[in-house]
Amino acid sequence: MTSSAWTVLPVGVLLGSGYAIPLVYRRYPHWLGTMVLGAGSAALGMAGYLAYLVATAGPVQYFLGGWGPPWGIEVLVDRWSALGLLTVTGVGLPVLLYALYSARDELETPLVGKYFGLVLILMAAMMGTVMAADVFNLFVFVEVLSLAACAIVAIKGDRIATEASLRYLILGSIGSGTILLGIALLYMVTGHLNMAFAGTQMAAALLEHPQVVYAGLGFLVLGLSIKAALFPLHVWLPDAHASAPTASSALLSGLVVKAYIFGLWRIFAIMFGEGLLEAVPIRALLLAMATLGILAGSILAIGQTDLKLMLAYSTVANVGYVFLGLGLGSERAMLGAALHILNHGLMKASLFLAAGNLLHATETRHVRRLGGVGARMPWTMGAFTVAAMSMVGIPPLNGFVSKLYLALGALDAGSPFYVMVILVASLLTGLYYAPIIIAAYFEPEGPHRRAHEPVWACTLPPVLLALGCVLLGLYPAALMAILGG
Amino acid sequence: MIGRLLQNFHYLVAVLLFVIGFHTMLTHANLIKKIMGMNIMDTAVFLLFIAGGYVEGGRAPILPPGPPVAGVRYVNPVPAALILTGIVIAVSITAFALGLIIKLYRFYGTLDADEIAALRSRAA
Repeated sequence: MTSSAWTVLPVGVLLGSGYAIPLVYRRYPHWLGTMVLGAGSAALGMAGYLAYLVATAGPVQYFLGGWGPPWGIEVLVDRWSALGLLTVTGVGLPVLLYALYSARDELETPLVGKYFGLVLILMAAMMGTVMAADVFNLFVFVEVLSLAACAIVAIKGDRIATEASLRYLILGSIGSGTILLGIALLYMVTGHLNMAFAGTQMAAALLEHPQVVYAGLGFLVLGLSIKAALFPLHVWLPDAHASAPTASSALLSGLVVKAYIFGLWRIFAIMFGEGLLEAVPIRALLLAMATLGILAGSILAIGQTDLKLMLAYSTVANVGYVFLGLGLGSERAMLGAALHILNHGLMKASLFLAAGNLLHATETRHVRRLGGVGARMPWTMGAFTVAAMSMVGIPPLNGFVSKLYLALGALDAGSPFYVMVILVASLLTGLYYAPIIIAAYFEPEGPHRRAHEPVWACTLPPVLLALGCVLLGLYPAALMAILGG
Repeated sequence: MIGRLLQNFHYLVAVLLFVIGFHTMLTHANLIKKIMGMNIMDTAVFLLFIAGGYVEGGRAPILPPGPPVAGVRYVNPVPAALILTGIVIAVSITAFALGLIIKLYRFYGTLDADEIAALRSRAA
């Protein structure tokens, strides 16, 4: 266990630039690109250094203001958080590059500076959520994240986005209420907010007040599942993700829903631990909801004609995969869940950015009207194809690796039923991506004879992310060094 | 049983408020009432948290200079500090939600969620 202020620095850099950029943008709009990419790359560099520290020297902690727990606020970067930090910054940076051009196109000019402020605050909040070691600190970052997430949907300003954002906000606030209630109940029986210290009291609390512990954990799981869009609590997700500006969709679908799962995983692992989780009947519930989510999300996605809505429903299914790993609880299943968080971030961000390019070029959101675009937009459609194939789980792409680990984990946990679920869902996934890809490459050019690739800054990010999918599929060992698998 | 309930009546009130707020939020079509329900629900959680930190006959947790006085009990300051943050968060969510509702009212001319849904399906 080492101690380093590098843990809080990336959050500080992103928060600081999040507030500074809208102000500077008003006077010097041409500095925007430098500032945004500078902040994003600095955060990526620091996250990379932290991941290196964690991989070589074990978990890194930091006590804010020098006050150690149980009184002070502790920040803890363990293997999972290191992966989370890399995911947030690694997927976030290409999306920021894309947004520099797409935001000017999709938003009113005075809002562009504020949009980047919100996006950077969103990324800072995700990094904070991933490494909070204190339940109340976790709650604060979760709230900052929820508000910023609603704001980057609402900023588009049209009717659908405003309505979707309000629904997101209202359902999210039910989640906030129940999370705080859960924290209150667990604090009352354990006397600690720090997760590790609460964990030391949890066994005694479970013996003395089992109902309070059940209720507290239940409320926490409920609140975080609403925000993470676990089926059937996903009702806010499709509209919010589909109506947001392209870059927001990529961030929300690829990263934000998973930050809440990190929080839940921390509560499970540090506050309860393996032994006590067996005593609390929560895993069976998560497994049931995850299975329903995987199947229902895939089936609902097949029925969509709007490309962005289809991708949003596919996120509901993929959140199910991560919860499946959490519910199975065996070591390889957890590893699969962790990998799937990063892998799905790369795939879904690539898909949403490619979809944004397709919508911009063809001016249609209908999935059946994309015939022949493959030849007109080779880079965009190439990235879309690779990411979609990875989503189905075709080897050697990264989606295959995480699904393989989830399936192996299901066998370890002695429930081969979930291997069937993963297989069936992969087939269903193929059913909705394949027609788009086949039409794009093999159908004659329809009305899109004049469709062409957008500027390089919009073509490069989805290609980079798809390249990430291929590289992580071929060399998953690089991540295993961090995760210790 | 009744005695224990009376002794812990603040928890009972918190649960009642939570249910009232939740019910208002889910059943009322008026968007402003939904936000009111949300605030009632948040208040219930604040009450529960604060009540958990109360110590019978406790003083405000301010240590006077000099050696500690024996036999004086203090209330737990942590819940109060946390709920201050909680209130700030609830206020920001409320302000943001009301801003969005004003915008929706300009689009649709109504605050009724059902009417908005009907107008939207007619437009589509």
